[in-house]
Amino acid sequence: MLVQCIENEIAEIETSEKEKSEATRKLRSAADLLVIAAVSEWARAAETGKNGGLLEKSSDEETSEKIFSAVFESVGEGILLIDKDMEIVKANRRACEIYGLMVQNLIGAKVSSLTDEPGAHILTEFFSTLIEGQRKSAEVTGVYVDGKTFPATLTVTRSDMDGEKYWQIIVRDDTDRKNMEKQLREEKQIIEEMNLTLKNVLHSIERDKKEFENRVASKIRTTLLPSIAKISKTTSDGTRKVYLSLLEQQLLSLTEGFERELDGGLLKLSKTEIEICRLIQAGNSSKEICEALKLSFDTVQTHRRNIRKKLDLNGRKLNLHAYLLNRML
Amino acid sequence: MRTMWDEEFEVVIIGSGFAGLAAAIEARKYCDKVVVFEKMPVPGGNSSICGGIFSAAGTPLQAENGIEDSPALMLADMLASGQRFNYPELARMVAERSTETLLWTIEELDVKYQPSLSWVGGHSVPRSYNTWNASGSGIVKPMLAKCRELNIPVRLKSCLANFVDDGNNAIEGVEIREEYIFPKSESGTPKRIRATRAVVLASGGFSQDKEFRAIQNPRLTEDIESTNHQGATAESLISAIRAGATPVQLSNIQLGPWASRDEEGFGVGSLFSMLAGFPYGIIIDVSTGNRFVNEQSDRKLLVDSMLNLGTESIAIVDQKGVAYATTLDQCLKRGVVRKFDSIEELAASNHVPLMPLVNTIKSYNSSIEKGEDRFGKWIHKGLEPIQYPPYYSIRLLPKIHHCMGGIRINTLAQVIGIDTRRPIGRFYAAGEITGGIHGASRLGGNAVPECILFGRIAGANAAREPLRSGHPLSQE
Repeated sequence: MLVQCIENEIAEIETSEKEKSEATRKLRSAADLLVIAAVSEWARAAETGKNGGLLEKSSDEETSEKIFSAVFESVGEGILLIDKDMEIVKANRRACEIYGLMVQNLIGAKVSSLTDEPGAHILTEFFSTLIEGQRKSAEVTGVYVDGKTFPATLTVTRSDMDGEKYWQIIVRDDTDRKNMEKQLREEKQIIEEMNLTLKNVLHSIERDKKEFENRVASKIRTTLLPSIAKISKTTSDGTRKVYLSLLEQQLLSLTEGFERELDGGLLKLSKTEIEICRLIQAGNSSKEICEALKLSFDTVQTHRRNIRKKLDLNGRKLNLHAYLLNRML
Repeated sequence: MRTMWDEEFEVVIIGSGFAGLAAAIEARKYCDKVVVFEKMPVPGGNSSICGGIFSAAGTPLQAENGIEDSPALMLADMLASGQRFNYPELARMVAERSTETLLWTIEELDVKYQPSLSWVGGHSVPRSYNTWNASGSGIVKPMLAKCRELNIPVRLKSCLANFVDDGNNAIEGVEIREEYIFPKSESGTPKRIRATRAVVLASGGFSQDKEFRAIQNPRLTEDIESTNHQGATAESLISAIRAGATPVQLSNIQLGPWASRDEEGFGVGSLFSMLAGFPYGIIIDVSTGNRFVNEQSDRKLLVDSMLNLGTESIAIVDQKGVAYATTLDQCLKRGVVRKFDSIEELAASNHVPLMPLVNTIKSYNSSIEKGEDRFGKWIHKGLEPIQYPPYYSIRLLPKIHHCMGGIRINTLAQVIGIDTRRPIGRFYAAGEITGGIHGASRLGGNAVPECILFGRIAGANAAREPLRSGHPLSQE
């Protein structure tokens, strides 16, 4: 009960799930040790009671027995006591809840009926190899009363009483923990996938950039530089003119890559129109544009109308400024 | 005032024992949204810890063993032990449809039974099947597995707090306390659950409700033990009465004469006495060593004679008779039954005067030879004298076992209103919560067919109620 209270407290603390589950795990293992201590205490009490043949228990013993049974019943983990016939001789309330069985049904039942074949195998192995006081844990499949299976952790300790072998089993239903783990795993996977995607995107951007740089460099090397060399070498005005116009052509073709990325509509704009667009993009009002370009207000309005027409924005409820904002000019 | 609902199902069932689970499985054939609420943290109730004895007339095992039986004979046995307190139309249904119900458990649920029949006290012939594991859990487990397969949720720790009616003499839903911690009535969170077709009440008896049972029968003081699980209390019965149900014969509360003094509750000793000690052995008064009753009487007769005696009694059986005990190993292991090489040792250990005991056995054995018993035990060819060691004894202690009383239903399992004496709309009940089927004393193995039969009837009829029109759930 106490353990459960603390667990609830932990659940309410505002911290990461990981820290919470870690804290719960630590708390539970401490609780386990407490339970083991309590059970062996109880076992010893039972032994002295039997051997001493005490008919009337002292009030001290009665109190400690009450305390023991309160702890036994309310502890957050299932506890089973198994005898040499592999039958359950004692079970607490939590164990009943974990398996969906009344204590009357658990007592006398074979412990193997609570798990599957591999689980029963592991238990048999534990029972035959554990020495007194030794403890072993295993993750097995538990079977609920309606046949549903669930992940369980069993911690088996051997503690002999009255010259007979007995085993305590602490049962933990791992359904919640496994679900949490599964959720964490899934989240981790999603994040890893996203990471990978981002990496790939960055990679290809980098590659494109390199490719582009290489292209520009090789064009400069193969076409521009020879033209410039020719211009500087020649003395004839005519030849220089030809090479200058060629150079112009070559420079233009170098920018082809950008132009293709430009909005088709933007290419149809005249110089003045582009100028006006730049000013609109920068957030200037028509009045400010008039002043800057020394044009009349009406002229600027006409330009704006033409721009809208060329950009195919007529009849659309779209602000020119907003449209231009994300475009390259 | 318009009621707000937290959740909505077509059929809402209260209780997860034989009757509730049978109702759920049957209801699911006719509609999709069925739910079972169970107040305890574990499903199954008393059904899962009872002896798993199923009495039926005209069964395959009877035919195999040449036992002549009929529903009419079973009904006659029921009315005789029930002292005709039984509502005949309900008792007749149990007798007539007992075999059909048994076969349903075999065919629909794949329940496994032991290959031989038992002869339980008060029955004229051997007509009782035993589950493979000598426990009602042999039927409850397959039922729960079926519910899982059919996607019927069994919600635990959910206690019925109240029925909610629609103001028009029909039940519209229930108030449930979720995350309820037995037995704290204020624990949990109230939730209103609407049933768009009907509610089935299958919440069992009240043998563990010391206050309530003493109100009904002052002789049942709180120091008397019960074979039932702790949750067998009366609050759902009280809710039903508050909702207008008719309470009947609530003081008819049965004690089991076969229970052991050396273990708690029903345990493993009860079946030992019921299947071996009583039919094939003798019951004696330990202070005199004498028999005092026909061991094969119905439970009421046995308990009344034991209580009239005022002293302790034990049952004795020999090696031949013990063959019929299905729980012998567990009985010996737990010290509930003890084994002796001779009658002398048995007598000494049980503090029975030896000579009278030896004479009692001698006289019993000779009545078997004569074919006539002075206490009226029917001498049949399977009965043998007690003479083959080792001998076994069990110390008996009558314990409160079954509530024959409850709420009144009709043959359709509809709850009868106390004001109108007519069915309350959309309200069904089945199992130990209902009353008057077994009258003054229920025969052994008759509760299982009764619970399953009326559970199925209730479930099927509930699911075929017309769907209530739409009603918004509360906006939260």
